[in-house]
Amino acid sequence: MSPFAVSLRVVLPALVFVVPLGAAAGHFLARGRGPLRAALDALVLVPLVLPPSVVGYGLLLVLGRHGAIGSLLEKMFDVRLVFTSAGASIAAVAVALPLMAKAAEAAFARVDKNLEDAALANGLSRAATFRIVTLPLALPGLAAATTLAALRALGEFGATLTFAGYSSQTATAPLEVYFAMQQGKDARALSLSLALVVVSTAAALAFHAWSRKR
Amino acid sequence: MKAWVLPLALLAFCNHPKTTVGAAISLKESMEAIHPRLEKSRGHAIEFAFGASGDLASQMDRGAPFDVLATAGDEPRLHAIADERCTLAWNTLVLVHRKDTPTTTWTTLDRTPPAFRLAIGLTPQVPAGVYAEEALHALGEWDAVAPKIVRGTNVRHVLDLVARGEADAGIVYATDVAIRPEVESLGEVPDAARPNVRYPVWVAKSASQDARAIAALLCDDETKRALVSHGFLDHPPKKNP
Repeated sequence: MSPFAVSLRVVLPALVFVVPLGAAAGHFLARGRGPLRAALDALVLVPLVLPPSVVGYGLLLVLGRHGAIGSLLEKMFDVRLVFTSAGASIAAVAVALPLMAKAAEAAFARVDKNLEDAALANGLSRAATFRIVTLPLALPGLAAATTLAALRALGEFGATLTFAGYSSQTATAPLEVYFAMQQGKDARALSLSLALVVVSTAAALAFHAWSRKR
Repeated sequence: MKAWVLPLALLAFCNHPKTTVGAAISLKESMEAIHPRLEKSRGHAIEFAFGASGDLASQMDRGAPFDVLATAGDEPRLHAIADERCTLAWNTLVLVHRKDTPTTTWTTLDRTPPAFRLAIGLTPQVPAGVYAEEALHALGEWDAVAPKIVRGTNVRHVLDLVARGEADAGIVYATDVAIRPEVESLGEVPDAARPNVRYPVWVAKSASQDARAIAALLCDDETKRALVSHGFLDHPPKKNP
């Protein structure tokens, strides 16, 4: 399978978790108060600044075949994560989710709270206010957040290699660049790199367009 | 700060006489054992860089600062830039597994369950992986085993995958087994499939006198004795390599 096909098989399932969970976390970070918010903020920031190798090693200790959760998964569901695209997806979630949450926080924070209060005062329920007022106003920011998170997931290297390892299922474009380079296959490393540059630049331009919309 | 301080400080960092020797990672413990003798006889610091032989050869080819390199097999890309000085030692392949997991054998690898994972080195840069592929081909098991293969980025990474239980078995050198207490050998590769695992010592064509002297030390009998005490062979593992 081509490295970009592998990347898609890793990134798309990861985004299914990253986007809703990250948006929910971002909303709580933007509107929540108190120690719970502070705790979530720290929880989100730490993986964002940790070396990916540490994130990957942590995942391996917990979700590896002899880890606390990994051994249960294998016993109960016969699921193994290391060397599988599911494992690579988990590594992508671990690094992209914090970024999604922080960017979604900014998107929700920009929504004028007076508009939400006005909707509530006019008798709309909290859920309806979120659906009719908050979400549409935050949508361009959330699109930008999703772009950032998708790019981070696509560009994941360290945590993937440390946790999910290098196999046919985890040979994503970034890993292939590294291993092609090591084998002296510069044509392959360079063409994959250029493709990644093009994808990232296109996404960055889209991000710019979305984040200027209000 | 006066303007001459910075260049002087840089000189202080750069000017220590130091030689870097590249070595296959399977040689790590034995090279560390002879390290004091090398430094003592040369009278200056010697540093080792360990890694997969193919990675070290690419680095040397791209200008990494080692003039002496001991690899776990022939590295064709070195022929143009280095000369082979001697054979440091020989080694043999073993099948390993984690002690608390089910056993398997060389000749039944093709009959393992679909979820079975066999760790070998990444090819072509990890010689242990190249030898393992050769052996699996020679045993007629390659086609059945290929979908179950996972790769380590050097032979010690393969060993680690087995020690952590992420792979059900792995193919490493006989000398690697003792490094990880969780791991045990399931036997040497059958004679019919035994690859000639040989460690050549290379010296760059442009090497300094000092680097040549270090290579000579690596090729002497005392080094050979140290390697044998670490489980390496002082002769080829089969009669007709």
